[in-house]
Amino acid sequence: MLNPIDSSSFSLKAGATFQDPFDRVGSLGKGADGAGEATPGDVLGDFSKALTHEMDKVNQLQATADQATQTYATGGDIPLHQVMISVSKAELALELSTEIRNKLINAYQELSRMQI
Amino acid sequence: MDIYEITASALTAQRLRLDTIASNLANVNTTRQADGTPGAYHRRNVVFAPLMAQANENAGPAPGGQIGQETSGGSGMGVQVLSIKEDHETPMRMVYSPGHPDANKDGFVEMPNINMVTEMVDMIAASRAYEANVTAFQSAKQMSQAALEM
Repeated sequence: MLNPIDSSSFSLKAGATFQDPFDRVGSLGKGADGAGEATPGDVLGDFSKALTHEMDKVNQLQATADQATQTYATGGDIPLHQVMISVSKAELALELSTEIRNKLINAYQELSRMQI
Repeated sequence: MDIYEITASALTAQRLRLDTIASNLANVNTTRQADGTPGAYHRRNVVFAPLMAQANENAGPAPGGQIGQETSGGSGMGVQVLSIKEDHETPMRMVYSPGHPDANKDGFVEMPNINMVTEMVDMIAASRAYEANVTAFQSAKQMSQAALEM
């Protein structure tokens, strides 16, 4: 998702297909949306929308896994490996969002420790 | 296709191959068709073919490019089952059994061209291929989890 080492991925290219929520934050900082200075309201609004969007995707994966487990448990026509793959994907997505949360909290604590 | 789709298609294909082998073993003495008409059961084989991902505009540079696509695009190919074909090349077994209801006028019954040993070996191969794909999936999962610890 986030690639801080390669900063060229932060700029919006024509035909960019990468859905990175931080992409929009980076481009707002550079004024790529043509509005010049980005107000804090813009950044926060876009970021929370992006975060909600990503959480929806994680929730979608969880729902798919639940559905698959239920279908299998009631004797439906789904192979067992499909159930396990759905559950693994949901588990991985949840771990990723937990790690992102940890990183955000660390970053916030780092900032709040800064001496004025 | 990402690793999860590739592995899922492989597991499904090997499962189907195992089902076919099991049906061959079950019908080793079957001398009629499913609807009761005369005609022995022919050994069945599955035909695999690679499965290209659906062409989409997200399949830009190969993985490892500067954007690092992990869940979209990719260059892997899964496997699909094209068809389950009957084997009419191998000769059928003729067994002398004049009292059998399906014996021909010489007293021979046409039995399926299924060699138990070949089927057992194919079954072992199919189950090892299934396990190999499960191992590939576990490796991919471990790689992802290692990446999460960065």
